[in-house]
Amino acid sequence: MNFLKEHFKKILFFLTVLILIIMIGLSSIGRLEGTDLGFVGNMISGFQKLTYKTGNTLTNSFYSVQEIVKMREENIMLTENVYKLREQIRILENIINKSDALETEYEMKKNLSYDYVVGQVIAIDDTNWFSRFTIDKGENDGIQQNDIVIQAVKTDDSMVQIGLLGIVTQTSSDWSKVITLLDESCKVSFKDIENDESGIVQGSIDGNVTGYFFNSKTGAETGDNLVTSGIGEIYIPGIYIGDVKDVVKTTDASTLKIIVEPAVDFTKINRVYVLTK
Amino acid sequence: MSSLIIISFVFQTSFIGFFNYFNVIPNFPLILLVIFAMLSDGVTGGTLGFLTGILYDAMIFNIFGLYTLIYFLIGVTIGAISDEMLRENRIVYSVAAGISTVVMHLLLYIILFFLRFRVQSAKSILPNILFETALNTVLVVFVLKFVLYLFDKFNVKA
Repeated sequence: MNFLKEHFKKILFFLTVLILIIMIGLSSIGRLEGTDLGFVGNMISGFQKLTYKTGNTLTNSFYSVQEIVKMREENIMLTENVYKLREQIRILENIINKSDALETEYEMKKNLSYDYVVGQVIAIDDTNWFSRFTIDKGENDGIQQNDIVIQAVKTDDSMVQIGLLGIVTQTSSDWSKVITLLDESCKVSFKDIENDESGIVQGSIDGNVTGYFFNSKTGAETGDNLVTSGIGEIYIPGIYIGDVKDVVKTTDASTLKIIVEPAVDFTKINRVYVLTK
Repeated sequence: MSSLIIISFVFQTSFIGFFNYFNVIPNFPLILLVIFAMLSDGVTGGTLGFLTGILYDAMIFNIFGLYTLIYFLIGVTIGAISDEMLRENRIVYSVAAGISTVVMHLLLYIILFFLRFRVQSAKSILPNILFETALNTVLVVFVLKFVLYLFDKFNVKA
């Protein structure tokens, strides 16, 4: 008894460390749930939403003053781009219309719609080790673990996807945690649109997205578009991931390594679209 | 002390990120933890470290316990040895903040290594860590002034 009294602080210290180590082990293999702080967590997320919006408004107003000069030039450039894209669409539609199979697939993809929830980022990871953020929508809005998060724009008649952002890893009643494509623990199976070959891309601590093709003899080239393949049944197929930035020759003869330029600018995430199942 | 830690966490994760011009921002919750642990003892330091870490783990990260363990260890250690340090000397706070930042990243590296993360690519974030360490080392002096002013104003005894 005297021993306990004498060394109470030391015992408490080692017990806490031991329990925390066990918790790290359990949560890293997904065996620990209910760690969202309940009511306190919801209150903190409410404050985070408020301060994030304030920060966003402040920086946006600063940049909008800075960018007024650039806007005219950008407007001219964008108008030219619209003409170019319209021409491209005309050419592609002409090709598609010549084949029944292609036309059917085009119609199918054009009319493909997802159920989605629009979320606002309320907190971002501030360390260099991970790439994660929290959004203001949770289970009460229909969001579940493993829902896909994308960046998109809403037009008058539909939602146009810009690219894959990441995946929901944990949900609370009013907020959810998301890991991005840049995070070390995010792995996505992809398909190269140009050659139909598949592979896996993964984020890393240094912020680069790298990947490999299952088939080392594939003719991947810089600029190839990558979309989710749907293998593994977590990611919906056809979500745009990004382009091949570089093809790297490695000593491993069975795979071909690539460096990927993601479609989304991860430094400017504000409003996100969660595709619900 | 706890309220200041919670407020700094909210600002750190939702507001300060907008001023992330060189991929580096100072770690205000860590700076506050260092100051509070220095002004108190191991038990208070450990409790505040636990609180800081649990906020990160619950609100942002998926591996629960990772930051709680790191901040707890930092809080306990600084609190326990603060008695033997000259608390009036501002340089001591700077040194403690600098060492804590380095230790935090070192512990992260070690734990992530055991969790089978590809930590070999961590060398590319080394300049950011050093810059963050320098920022924390300098800013701790100003934050300390502010904290002491608040303590004085609201009659708080550390």
